[in-house]
Order: sequence, then structure tokens, then C-alpha cells
Amino acid sequence: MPEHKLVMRNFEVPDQATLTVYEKSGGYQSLAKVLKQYKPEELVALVKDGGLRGRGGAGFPTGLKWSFVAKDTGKPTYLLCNADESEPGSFKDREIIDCDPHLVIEGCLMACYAIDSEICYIYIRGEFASGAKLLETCIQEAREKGYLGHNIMGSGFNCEIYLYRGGGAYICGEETALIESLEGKRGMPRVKPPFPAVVGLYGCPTVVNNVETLATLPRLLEMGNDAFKALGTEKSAGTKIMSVSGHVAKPGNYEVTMGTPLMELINDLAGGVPGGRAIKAVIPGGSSVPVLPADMCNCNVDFESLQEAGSMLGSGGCIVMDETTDMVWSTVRLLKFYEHESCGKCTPCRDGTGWLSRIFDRILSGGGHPEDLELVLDICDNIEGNTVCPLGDAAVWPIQSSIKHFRSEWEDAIAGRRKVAAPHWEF
Amino acid sequence: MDFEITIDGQTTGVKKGETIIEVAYRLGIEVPVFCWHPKIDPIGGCRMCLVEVERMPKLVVACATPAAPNMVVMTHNEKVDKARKGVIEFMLIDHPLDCPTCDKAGECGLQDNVYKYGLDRSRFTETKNRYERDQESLLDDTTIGPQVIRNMNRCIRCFRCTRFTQEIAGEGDLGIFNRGWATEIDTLPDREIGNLFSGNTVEICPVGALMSVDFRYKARPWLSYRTPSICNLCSDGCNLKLWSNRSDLFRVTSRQNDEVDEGWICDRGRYAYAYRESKARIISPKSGDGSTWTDISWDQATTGAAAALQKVAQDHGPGAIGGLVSPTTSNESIYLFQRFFRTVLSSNSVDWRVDRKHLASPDRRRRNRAFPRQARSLTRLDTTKLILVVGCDLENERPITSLRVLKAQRTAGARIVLLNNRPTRLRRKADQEWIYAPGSEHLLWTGLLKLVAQKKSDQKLPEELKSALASVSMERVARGTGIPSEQLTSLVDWMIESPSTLIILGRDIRQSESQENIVDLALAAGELLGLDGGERGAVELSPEYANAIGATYMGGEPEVLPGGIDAHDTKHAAHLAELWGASLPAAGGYDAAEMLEAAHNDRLKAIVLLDINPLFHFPDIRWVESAFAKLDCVIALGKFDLGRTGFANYFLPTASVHEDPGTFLSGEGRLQYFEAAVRHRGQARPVREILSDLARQMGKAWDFPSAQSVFVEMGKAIPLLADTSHVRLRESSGVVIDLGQYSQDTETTFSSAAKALEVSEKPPATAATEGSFILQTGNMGHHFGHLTHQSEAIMTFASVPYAMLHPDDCETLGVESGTWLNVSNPRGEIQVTARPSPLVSPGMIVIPVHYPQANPNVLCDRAEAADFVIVKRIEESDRKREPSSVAVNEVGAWTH
Repeated sequence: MPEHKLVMRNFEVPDQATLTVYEKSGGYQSLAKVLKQYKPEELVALVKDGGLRGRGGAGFPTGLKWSFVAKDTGKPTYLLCNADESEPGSFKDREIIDCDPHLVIEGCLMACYAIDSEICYIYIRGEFASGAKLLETCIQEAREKGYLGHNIMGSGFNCEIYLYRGGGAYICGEETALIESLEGKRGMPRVKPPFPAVVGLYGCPTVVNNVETLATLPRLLEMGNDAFKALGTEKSAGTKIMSVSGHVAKPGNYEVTMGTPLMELINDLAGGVPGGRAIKAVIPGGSSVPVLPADMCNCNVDFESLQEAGSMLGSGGCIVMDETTDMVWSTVRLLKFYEHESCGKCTPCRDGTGWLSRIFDRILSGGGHPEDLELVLDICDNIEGNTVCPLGDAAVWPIQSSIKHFRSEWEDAIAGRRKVAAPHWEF
Repeated sequence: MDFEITIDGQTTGVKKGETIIEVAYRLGIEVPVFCWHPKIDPIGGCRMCLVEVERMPKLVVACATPAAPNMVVMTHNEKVDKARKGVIEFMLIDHPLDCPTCDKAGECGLQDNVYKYGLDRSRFTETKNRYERDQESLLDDTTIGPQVIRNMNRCIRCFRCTRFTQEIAGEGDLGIFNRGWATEIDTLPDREIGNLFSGNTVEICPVGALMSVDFRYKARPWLSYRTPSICNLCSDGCNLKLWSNRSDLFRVTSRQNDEVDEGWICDRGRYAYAYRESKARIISPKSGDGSTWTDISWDQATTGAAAALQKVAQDHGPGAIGGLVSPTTSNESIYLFQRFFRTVLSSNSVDWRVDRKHLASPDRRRRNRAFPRQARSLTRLDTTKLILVVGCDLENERPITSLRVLKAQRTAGARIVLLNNRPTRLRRKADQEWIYAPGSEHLLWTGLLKLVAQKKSDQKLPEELKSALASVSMERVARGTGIPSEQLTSLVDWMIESPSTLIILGRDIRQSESQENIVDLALAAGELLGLDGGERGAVELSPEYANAIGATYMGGEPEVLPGGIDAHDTKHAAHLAELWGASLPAAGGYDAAEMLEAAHNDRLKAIVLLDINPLFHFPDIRWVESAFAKLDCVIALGKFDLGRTGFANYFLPTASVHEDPGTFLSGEGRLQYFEAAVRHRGQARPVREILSDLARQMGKAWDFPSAQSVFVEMGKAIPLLADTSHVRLRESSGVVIDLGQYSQDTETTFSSAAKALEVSEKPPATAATEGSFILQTGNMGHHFGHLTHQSEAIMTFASVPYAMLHPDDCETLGVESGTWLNVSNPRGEIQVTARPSPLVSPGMIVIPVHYPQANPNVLCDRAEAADFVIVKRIEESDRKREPSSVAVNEVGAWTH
């Protein structure tokens, strides 16, 4: 199955990032249509019906999320565009911002209109310096052209977009930590409830949407619900940008319709594993989701199929590992990432990751004990589900799945029968 | 109750918004916690309070999850217990388990929860993470503030300390650094946690991560006695817990009283107890000859003192004896003191007001009307929408009230407006701050009253007030105060719009020459705004000292009889005479200022002091000194000498609040009881015993075997106290005495205001000579009054006398922080170090009154509306090492 480019449609158009070119390709027409033809609540209903689900990881229905926004609170409502893309394996949002920034802005404006918000903050990962600069220019362009600011396109709708660059913490991609960070505080997640839709930024109703979700909105409006739904599966409508990396010939972003077989994505689009080696395992949705061994990869790229297979679509960061990969090493590498990024707020994640890290260090240096595996699994069990935010789960799912599917590798490593080593890169 | 939930099989009604843990605690179901604190917003971080809720996929935190209709909660089951064991295990992996050498052992949340919910052994075999140790010591401790020690290895990252500091105290000197397991609690580099509330972080730390320098290795909690007490510094009346072995005091912690302090106390109240142990305290009776003390027996002391008083009475008449009493003394002592004067010495000359620059109102009756107008309970603050602080450095005058004001802002969205002659600490959270010219308080209220009257034109005003207001020029107000009329107008608009307003008048009003007039103007404005002490709000003259209200209420003023009743009330006087079995002197007598005046004129020949040092407190010390020099006899009941060895004829050492029970009447009119925690030091005796002995020597059969017996008599003298007792007070959160009966009627308020408007106001103070500074004094920082510098702990915050100057003025003078300054005027000079501070207006110098060796009161002149000083930089070598009249004791603290 070939790619089906909705969001990525104009990525290769020269100067797509400029307003003139963007307008030529139909830019801001969806916004104009929305402002003219729909009331905010109609837009919410439409997106609800279109079946658009969040592309940031959790896959929560976007329209439903909007409908939770507290009304008549006497406070402003905020839209936050989550551009703090930091998930290892995921690099789609960066490309959207770099290639078609006005698409993101248009999506933000439409979402603002839907939730009756006049202020949108784009929280962009600090490392995306060029993207931030580009967005800043585009926001200025849009403002000058009247797509942004007071009385947009004569509709009476006012909206302002501000850009905020993050300080370099993975956790700030979690929506409540993002809000804390935006408020100028230390980025640590809040306990939910209350949910941001009721008590969010500065205590006001707030919606946090992912870049890809917002960039999909203009396309959804453009093509209509029926065409959009026709693209995906029953529960996962539309397309999804998959960031394929690892042991593949052509790593990169591929936009496919939901329901595309995972192996087709890897073999047909990303060129498969080079050198005739076999696939060993795939992390289908970014480092936070459980790993799938090769024999379980006969599933499709959509929310329900991957869940059935024991993993998740996540943010679509598909990491392919071939037979040379040491699963113990790669799992330890991931754990080290989560240990480093654990914010420190809640006990299981903060101390659990630190403990696991030290156990793994010992195993890697040849000091494993036979009971280590059960201990590791029990620590994982004590972390899973007991933390404030999903970072704790994200830290243990790769470990649990790795041990589940590749237990003998772990047992060999612990018994010292095999030296654990970094993968041998050969291209 | 809005709906029902079930916890561990118990079904109960729940109010919307209550969290699971609040409901569980109400039912007496224990849910273990670390990070949750009843007075701080929950963060759900420690995960110790995980509980299972039916139909919820994961365990939830009881502390932050609101109860929902028909919720079924299980606080203990296999799943919950496993998760909790896991949490405890995680907390212990890096914990040093050094309980035997940890100060927190015995009152440690971690210890308790581990014993109750933890595993009996650890599966952790790796190397523990260890934080960089202090290079100087063998321990893992670092000092992060004058009184706070940090041991990061013991920390469980509950963030109670930083949440208290940032959310409750609104301070920024403690924060979170690094990430993950390396998360650290620390101050910014080269800074320390030195805010006025720093001790609370130690108290709420559930483990031994933050420890008190003062309590370091002193005692074990389980071997200590805990005694309920009340703070005797400011008028907030915070509830304290004294920790002792019945002989020595170890420390002071808070004793949560939600109606007063909500469990927070300031560092002054926490560490001031040490004056009880001070080496400088006099603990045996002495006679003095002006330069030396001679130890004498109690017999000799009371016989001698009684004889001396009798001699003065015989030679010069009973009117020649006056008494000054401290407003930090208990109600029982003040009551007996005034009774001693009125019945034994036949004199009404008793007063406690020695801290005011001006006591010179020509209208004696008005001057003596010293109750806080419409005292308003602290809890009312929680729902007040506009808080106007005028002429008051609230954090320094009443620290815990200032926290309550911050709470009102945080939880009820109250607007805080400051009107002061200089920026004050509360500005860090204020919504609006206006600075008026020093000394223009009268003009300010003149303008405010006029604006309020204009806006409230529907209200009927008496003609005299109307015409007085008509002649007020707003232009003159703006010029004199330095605040543009539009700004005052917008403030008045806020006051009119706000559903509830509290106006707090503070020290700068009390120190003003026309204090009564200002209060009258403010009261009239309050009357127009409907601030009657009820729902709409109040106008409050905030008292400064712990028992200032009690001192008046007990009759500690010449014009006031016990019960706060006018001395001219013959019916009450007759009732008292019958109760006391003695005839009362005719109304009249000297107040504090008049006593000193009379001493100068040889009409007063003897003064009895109770726990007070007028040579220290009175603004204009030179004048007090010359008055005392003319006296025949000074009898001092107290704890510390008067700054001069042998200055009193007889010194009778009294027991401290830690040694003898009693009651205080706090600023909000709350009567609270404190117990004796420790034995009397040395030969010190309770005031009631000393006064009883003196009375017996003078032929009166006094018998007060206990503080309770005094209170019983007070109940007979004061109807409002009739149905309360020490026992009742101990078992309650205090009894609020209705001081509302002292509010005046509308007519009086308006006619007083009209009179107040006619008072020709001196123009606001301007510098007399080029380059001189206007002097401002007060209680500041960690010190309060003259007791706190006896505490080594408090001296660690500020041991050297200092003066605050505006940074621009410092630059002009060429001085930096710590440079020694000579501050002088024709009345005297003192030497202090410079402290550049944004909390001063340009052209102003602010000097705290706590340091005996540099007491700014020597620079004050009671005849002047404002005092001006010349400030000069001096070299360290030119500094007078030992200012006269002050000696250094062994521990290095200044004795006084």
C-alpha cells in the first residue's frame, strides 16, 4: 500500500513555509470555511463525528476532548499546541513544523474557534530552534495578513498565537507538566482530576492538542467526514504519520492510512532491513510502548490492532531492530533515558527507575543474580499504574515486554553466558 | 452533605469538593501519607496514600482525588498494600537508615510508616546514592540557612518544604533542583533560607532531611514533655507546644489551632523561648544602689520594697507612685498589678503604653480608648475580598496574620492593597501598593474620607462633618501625600465595589502625633462603607503586643477598670470595691507619659515596673532617663535589668510564661490559656506571689495560691469571664471575647471625624536640613521587642545592629552592605551597619529597635512629629566597641 499524504501533502512544495505559497495550495480556506459556515459547537460535533483521534500518543478522540471544556466559567479558555516532541523514535511534529508551519497555525486557529479560545500557546521543544524561528515568522506573516489577531477574516473571531520554547525536559510533553512549565514553574505533572479541560493553564479551562492532530484539522474540513473516515479503520479514522527509524534502508516519515499492515510500512515504504538480515523486534509507536517480537508484527498500523498485539500506536515512532540487536542492551538504553527524564515528583518512577538502572548496570558488568529477573519484574509491577503520569508506565513497558518476549537473552546475560554489547551498526 | 460515599464499608455523607483522604480521616480511617499536609494543596506525589476505588482501573491517591457520588473506596487490600510496600521500599533504597543519629527519630513519618506498612527487609543490594557531604563535618549535613540543616540523603522528596515556602509563605528562598532521583531541595547558590517562617519547613518535614540548628542533638521527642502554650510576642496569639524535661526547655513547635494560626508559626515565636534560659536573666532578688547589685533574700526584698513604697506614700501621698506594666504580661499578672495599685497603693497610675512616640492627645478620654476598633476574628479574613493595609508593615507586626492575608488572596481571590510610607515585605504579593509621604497619614485619611463621602452621597451626614469635608482640598491631599487623586479615587471605587473589606491600621498610625484623629477619620469612612465589623468588613487598629488588648481589658490603664469599663462608671467601681474589700481611689491618675512628666516635676517619686523596660522601649530615651534620675524609688519586677546594673532599688525576679500559667487576650480578642512547662529558674517567682507578699507587708490580706485562683476572681470582676475558666480554655481553641460592645455609635463616629478634620495638620515631614534622613523605627525581621536578642538562634539571623537605607541613598553615601554608619542628631548617636534595601523610601532610614547597643529610640524626640538624623560612613576602627551602659555577657550576646 502506498503512502497516503494528507498532512504531508505539500511537504515537498518549494517555499511551502511562506504564506503566499501556502495560500496558493488552498491554505486558510478550511479556516475561512469554518468561520463562515460553522458555529463552534457545530465544529466540535463535526470533528467528533469525523473520528479524529489525538496523534500525540494516547489517541483520545479530539472532538470529545473539546466537548469537555468547561463553559461559562468567566475565565478565558486556552488552547495549547503540544510541539514538545521528545519521544525517542518520533520525529513527525518537527517535520510538519519545518515543512508546512502554516498548516499548524491554521489548525490551531480552527481548534481555538471550536473551544471558544482567544489565546493559543505553541509549546515547542527547545531544541527545535529552526522550527521555532520559522513558526515565529509565519505567525507574524499570518498576523499581518489578518488570519490572526482581531476580527479574523471579518468573522468577529479574535485569536492570538504565542510561541513558547521549552527548557529541555521530556516530561513537558505530558500535558499537565507542559502547563506547569508554561506557567513558569518546574515541569512536573499534576494529578488528574481535575483535568485541564476544567482547571488547566492558570487555573482556566485548557485544551492541549498535538501538532499532528491540529495539522490534520484543515484536511479533515477540506475533505469532509465521510472521505476522512473512509481512509482508516472503524475506530481509527484518517492517516497517521509514522516515523520509521532503526535498522531500515530508508528511515523517515511516512504517512499511511490507518490500518496499513506494519510490515508493509517497514518493508515496502522504509525499504526493509538492509543486508538481508532478519527483523528481530519492532517498537511500533515510540519508545514508550511495549516492544513486539518479529513474529508478532503481523498487525496493522492503527490504534486497535496494535493494542490487540500487545503494544500501542503511540506517537507513531516505529523503531525497527534487526537480528544483531542485543535486546538486553537496547532495553537498558531505554531505561536509562527514562531514568534521566523522570521528573522526580512521584516515588515509584523517581526511585524505581534509579533502582532498575543500578540493577542493569550490575547485570551488564557481569554481576547478575538468578533472582534479578523476578526482582526487576516486581519493581516494574510496583511502578506500573502507580505513578502520577504515564512516564512510569512508559519506563517499565519496554522492560516487561522485552523480558516477556526475549527471556532467554536476559537469562543468558544474567548468568554471564553472554556479554551484553551495543549493537553493531553496519550499513 | 451533597452525596454519599463508602470507605472500607462505612457509608457517609460528603460535601462536594472533599477529597477521599479528608472523608477517611473524618471517619477515623487511617491512610498513610508523606507529601499530603492538611494546609497545603495536595500534589499526589509520594503515592503512599494510594487506595482502590471500585470501577477505577488504577489505584488512586486519596489525597488529591475528590470524592464522587457512590464511590466505593478500599483503603486496605492486597493490591493497595503491595503498592504501599513498593513505595516504602523505593523510599528506603537511598535512605541512609541512620535513625540512631537522626534528630527526627521518634517523630518521623518514614519510621512510623515503615514499621506499619513496610517490608521487614530490603531487596536493595546496590550502592546507595549519596549526596555530596559537607567538607567540614563527618556528617552528610549542609547548613542551608541560619537555622536549617539539610541532609539530602534522608529526603523523600515530598516537597512539603518548598510548597510551604512558595505557596503559603510566598517566599522564594527554597526550591527544587535537578531531576529524577537526583532531585534536590536547595537554596540558590550563595543564598540561604532566611525568611521569617523558615522553621516551619523543619517542622513539616516528615523525615530528618531538614533539621533545626537550635534543636540539634538536644533531646529525644519521646523523652520530652509537651506543654500547650501561647506565644507572648506579637498579638497574633499563635498556639505553641513547649518541649521540655520539666527543667529545661528544648524547643518550641506549633500547636495547630485553625482559628488562629493553622499550624504555622514564625521564627520569632519558635526560637524566642531561649530568653528563659539566658545567662543574662536575673534569677535572684537584688537590691541596687545605682551602680551595683547586691544579692538579698526574698524576705529582705519584699520587706524592703514594701517599706520603700510606704515611705513614698507617706511622704508624697499615694499619687506619687506609678506603675508601668508590659503588654506581654499575662492577664492574671496585669489584673493583680492594677488591683495592687488601686487597692493597696490607692493610685490609678497604671499604664502599659510606653512604646508610643506620642501620648499627648489633649482629650484624655479619647486617648484611653485603646481597643482595636471592631476587632475582627482571623478566620473572617479567609473570605474577605479586599484587604487594605495602611501604615502597617503587616509581616513584621503580625507575621501569621500576613500569612492569613496571603491565604485570602490565594483561596478567595482577595485583593491586597498596601498604603504605606515605604515599601513593605507584603508587597511581594500585593495587588497594589501606594507610597505616601511620611507623616501624611492624617491628610491621606482626610482625602479618603472625602472621596468615600462623595461616592456615598446617599448617606446622611451631619452638617458639621459635611461642611468640614467641603473645605478639604483634594489638590492639597494629593500634594501632601504624594498620591494622585485618581489613584485614591480608584482605591475608593474598589472599596465601594468590594463585598467585604478589611482595613488594617498599624504601627505608623499608632506612632503618629494625631493617631486618634486618623482612627476617627478611618472609622467614619468605614461607617459610610458599611464596615461595621460584620459581613461587610471592619476597620481595625492592629495591636502590636501579645497582650496589648488584655492589658487594657484588665484595667491596666488609669481610665479603665477591669472589663474595659470606664473608670468613671461608679456602679462598676462600687462592684469592684465590694469585691476587693477596699475603697477605690477617685477616677484619675497618670498615664505613662504623664508619669514621666510628673517625675520631672517632682510630683511622682516612685515607679513600679512589671516586666517592662521604659529605658528601652520609650521613643525618647533621654527624657525617660532624666525622669528616672529624679525618682526616689524604682521597684522592678522582671527578668532582665534595665540596661544598667543596680538601676532599680529592688529587683524582684519574675517567672516567665514558660514557668507560670496564665492567659492572653490576643489581637482578635481571643482569650487563650498557657500552661507552665518548666520549673521556675533560680529563685524567680510568679508575679501573683510577689504582689501578694508586698500586699501582705502593707497590711492587706492577699492570698492567691494559683493562677486559677486569680482567674476565678477575674471572673467575679468581669462578667464576660464569669462562665469560663482555665480548664475550659485549655480544652478549647480559646474563647473570643466580644469587644464589639466597645464600638461607638454612628453619631459619635461622625462627630469625632468632624473634629478630627478640624485639627490643623502639621505639614508632612520634610527633611530639616540638606542630607538628613527621616527616621523610621519598629519591630523588624526576626527580632521582636527586647526579648529575642536573648535567643542565640534568633541572633543567627541578625546579630549585628543594622539600618536599612534605599540603595540609591547607599550609593550617594558611598556605603555597601555591612559598612558601619554613624547615625546622629542633636539628641544622640548610634552606630549601625548599612543594609541597602528596596523596602525603604529614598531619604528614609529604617532602624530596628531591638539592639540595646544601637537603640534608635535615643534619637527620638517626643515633641517632634518626625525625627531626622545625619548618616555618616565610619571606618571599622572608629567604631565604639562597647557603647556605654551595655556589657557583653559570656555567650557573646548583648545583655540588657
